Amino acid sequence: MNPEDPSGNEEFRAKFRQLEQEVRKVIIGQKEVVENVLVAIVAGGHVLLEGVPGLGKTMLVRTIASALELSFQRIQFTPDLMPADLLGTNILVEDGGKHPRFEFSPGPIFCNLLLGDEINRATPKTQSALLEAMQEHAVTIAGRTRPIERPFFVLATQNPLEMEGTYPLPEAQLDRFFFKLRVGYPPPDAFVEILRRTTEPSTSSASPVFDGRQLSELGAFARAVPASPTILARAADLVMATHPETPTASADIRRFVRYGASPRGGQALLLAAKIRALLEGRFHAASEDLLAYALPALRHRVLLNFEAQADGIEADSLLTALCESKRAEWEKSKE
Amino acid sequence: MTAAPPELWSALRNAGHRLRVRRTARAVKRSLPATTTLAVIAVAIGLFGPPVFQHPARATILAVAAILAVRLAIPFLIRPGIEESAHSLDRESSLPDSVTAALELSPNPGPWASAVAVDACSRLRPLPAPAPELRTVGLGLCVVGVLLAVAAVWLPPKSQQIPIPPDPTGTISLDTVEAVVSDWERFSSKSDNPASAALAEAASELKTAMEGNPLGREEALVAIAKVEDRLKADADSASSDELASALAGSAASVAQALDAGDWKKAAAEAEAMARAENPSLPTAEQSSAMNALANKLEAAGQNSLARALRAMARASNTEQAAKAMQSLSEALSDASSASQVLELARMQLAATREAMGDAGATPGQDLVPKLPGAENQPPGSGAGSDSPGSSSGISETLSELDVLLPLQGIPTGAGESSAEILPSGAPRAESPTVQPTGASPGPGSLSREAIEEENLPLAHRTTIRRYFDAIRPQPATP
Repeated sequence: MNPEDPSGNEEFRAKFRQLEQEVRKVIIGQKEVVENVLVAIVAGGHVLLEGVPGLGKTMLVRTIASALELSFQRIQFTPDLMPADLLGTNILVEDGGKHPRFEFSPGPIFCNLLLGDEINRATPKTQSALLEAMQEHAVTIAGRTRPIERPFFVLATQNPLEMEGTYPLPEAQLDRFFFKLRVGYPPPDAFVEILRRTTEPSTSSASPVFDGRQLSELGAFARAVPASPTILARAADLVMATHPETPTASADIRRFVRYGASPRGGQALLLAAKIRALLEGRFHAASEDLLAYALPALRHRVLLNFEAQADGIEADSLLTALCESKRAEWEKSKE
Repeated sequence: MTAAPPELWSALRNAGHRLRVRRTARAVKRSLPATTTLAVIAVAIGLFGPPVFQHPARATILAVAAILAVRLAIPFLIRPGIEESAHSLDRESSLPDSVTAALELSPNPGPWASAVAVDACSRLRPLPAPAPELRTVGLGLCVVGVLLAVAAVWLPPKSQQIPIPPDPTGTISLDTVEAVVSDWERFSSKSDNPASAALAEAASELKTAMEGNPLGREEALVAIAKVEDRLKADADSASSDELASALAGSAASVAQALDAGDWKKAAAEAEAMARAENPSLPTAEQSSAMNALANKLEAAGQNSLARALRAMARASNTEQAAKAMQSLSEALSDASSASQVLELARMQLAATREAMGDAGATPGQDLVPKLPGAENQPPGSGAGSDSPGSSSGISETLSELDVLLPLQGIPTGAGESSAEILPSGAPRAESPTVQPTGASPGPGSLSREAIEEENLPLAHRTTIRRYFDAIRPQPATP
């Protein structure tokens, strides 16, 4: 797929759907979550999955790793987990000679797909160890920066129920996640299918569809999709509307939001919109693509104030109202 | 802008035309209820309203039509922007910003921009044939609107065509009051009753005032109020209530009739008592009340009644009482005619005020009410009439009064002017209703003349008129 040739649109869509189908062999239901995770992976972003235990978050990540033929690592985050446990460390190696030497023992972060289970159970120190890896795709240990092989994705999970002994992710960490997805309970028919498949003697497994290189090509192709100035302006408008200090912010945003979404939110929004445009068979991003991904791209980047927490207001409700108002505003501008 | 194919530009142009039509329809839809309501009200006023409002109504109709025409013309004349057309086309074809993206990406030609443009063209829905060129229509509408607006301001330069309503401050002619005064004088000459004399005196004063200068409405009302005061004083002096209380007991039936205000019946009852064999004698307390009342009546000029009361109070036997009762009967009979005179005078005054105020009498309606008991009598057979159908002034109808009441003022001296007032209903079509004579006109006349003669903008006439009315000197109130 040549990014300069828009005719690769069909191939992109075919590969994406092929990957999705492969994942769906194992993951029942959760259509939106699966698609959004794949969109984030194609865009080269990290995903924070939030949901109660037992909903298949880990299975989803494992399946994706299998389907993409990527190296996969899983870390169970605990309060006593140290950064070295994550990144690796230099160990003294005795090779029988006179001078023992230090040799770097890479941690589990050196992989293509890292599953950070219950990431909010680790201390901020350990959580912060991921910052450089997630943004720069490299880690610095003992003054030496070591790159991580691309593609590199972090798919982290967190449990919204058990908050005892957890450490909420710092804002900088949250901002590095491309999407934050809420994994809900499957519908009844999907649940029945899950029960059936998981209790049979043989279970389904995903086969590799394509490798990491092809995944990177998909990402590069998606980035070539043009966004018109109107769409760029609307993406910026949408992100800026989450900021309480902007004049166009709604009353609810001004009342309940402490900080609005960062520019990374706008980048995630636009990249996801481009991928969705390709999946819809278009050659350009549109307003509806922006609105479709406003929630996963912005919900973890909008920081609520104390009043919102006291009143039980969630970022999702604010963003939903914002999207509706923006949709009406943009429709009106067409008159 | 080379990336976009020609068919996209053509579609954009047509979408622009359709957008114009939609905007025009929307403008009409928004403004139609208000303009229609305003126009209907204006037309109704113009057709059926009073003449003073007919011209503003016509101007309003023109203005509304002008506004509507310009409102319709604006969307036609203002060409929608290309971006607006692109948005409109996206909306019409339910496209997700495809045309907009194609248009905006066209400055940077490349494979993606071309692909977007081709994709947009392929997704365009077949829409109705291009609307005809509408700018000419818009231009025509705009011209019509401007012409109507100009007409609304400049069309009626002839102020003479504008009907001017009758001036409520128009003068009351002498004839109106003369008819009343002659009646009063006739009654007073027939009787030496002090009430009649007082009435004649007040009437003479009014007549003198009328001869000196035709009275305006306010001045006439002041003069009539003075006469009413006199009437009231006279009526008080012969109050039937006081008489009834004085006579109560000694002449029960007379007192009862007086209490009811029926002087004639009281006189008849007194005469019947005088003929009776044993008329009742007054008590000491009643005698005292009779004497006191007699003094009061004497002071008011009611000498005969006072004498009769004193005789009644002095009566010590039935014979004296019978004589006193006979005298009382005669005095009451005299007072009865005086009471009728007063009642007639009151009614005539009321009728005069009604005529001055043009209180909306319908044609054929009695302008002057009849006396009590005179409803069934033919005209001229009421009290004081000496010939059938003569000027008792009681039963004249509005149609009859129309002969009298087109009150042509008689210029009898400097500063007078003749005017015509209409008794009721809509003013006459001929205008103006006031003919200025040019001799010492009052402020009202001045304002009317100024409005008639000067070439004033119609919109300002009412304001000027109000100004003159505002600075007009206020007449003295009674």
